[in-house]
Amino acid sequence: MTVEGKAAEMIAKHVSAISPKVREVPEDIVDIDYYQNKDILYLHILPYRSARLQEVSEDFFVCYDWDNPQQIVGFEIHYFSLLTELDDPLLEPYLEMRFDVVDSDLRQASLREILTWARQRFHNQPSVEPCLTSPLPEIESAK
Amino acid sequence: MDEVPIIPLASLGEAFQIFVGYVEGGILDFEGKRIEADFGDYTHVIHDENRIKRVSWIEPTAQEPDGVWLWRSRKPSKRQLDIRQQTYIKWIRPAKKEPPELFVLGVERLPTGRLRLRSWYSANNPEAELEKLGKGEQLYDRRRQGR
Repeated sequence: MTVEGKAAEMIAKHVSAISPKVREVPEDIVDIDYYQNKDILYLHILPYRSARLQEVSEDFFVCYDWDNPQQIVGFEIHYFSLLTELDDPLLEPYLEMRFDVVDSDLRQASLREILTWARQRFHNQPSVEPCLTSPLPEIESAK
Repeated sequence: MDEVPIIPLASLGEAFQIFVGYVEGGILDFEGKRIEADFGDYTHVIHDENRIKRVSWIEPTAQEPDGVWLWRSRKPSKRQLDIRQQTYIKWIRPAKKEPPELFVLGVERLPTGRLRLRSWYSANNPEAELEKLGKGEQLYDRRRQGR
């Protein structure tokens, strides 16, 4: 990031801390999409962009800009309802990234907070209980 | 690396038609097993044009992969459900002058052996992807088959 870019980022964060309504520089905004049938949570950092993926921890994918492999443009979390631990050191740098969330009151929330919020929104379970959102007959019969 | 096959990308219209075929008839893999797909797999990545255009790579990767690995989860909750991950990879070029991409096809294997499509993507870091896969059980290696 350039010096100007870094300065703009710092100013934006400072301004947003004072009042979220007077931001002069747009913050990163994520749109969240949950695919219940496959239990996949998609977080798109707007605007939508094509991405190449990397699984940085089991079922936790980071989406990188197609033309800029250093720039993160989203996340994809498989078996989201089974995401029981957020203490994987490999996830730490991502979990501290901050975003506004479309269609929510979340502003400058850390990814960790957003995932907790998404769990409550899509599974209505504040505590961690492994489950599948749509139980599969094979799984039921295999128990 | 051996010569990398060229598989043209689909147009956005073609991609949808190809995917309809996957949903209706499934995707046959290298063992003739059927991988089930549904429209949600497609609609939830519709924002990603490059991913949609690579729908045309899904079946060739399943049928003639460079490698296939089977994974058992490290997560106790997932192990309890006995869901395993079957990952197919294939090096592909979209055109003669384009660089090769490591294309990854993620499939879940349910306890009954049923296969369901989960994801497809180009790896951002092919070396890391191959290193990760190497820790799983390799089911297929094209080089050993002499193909």
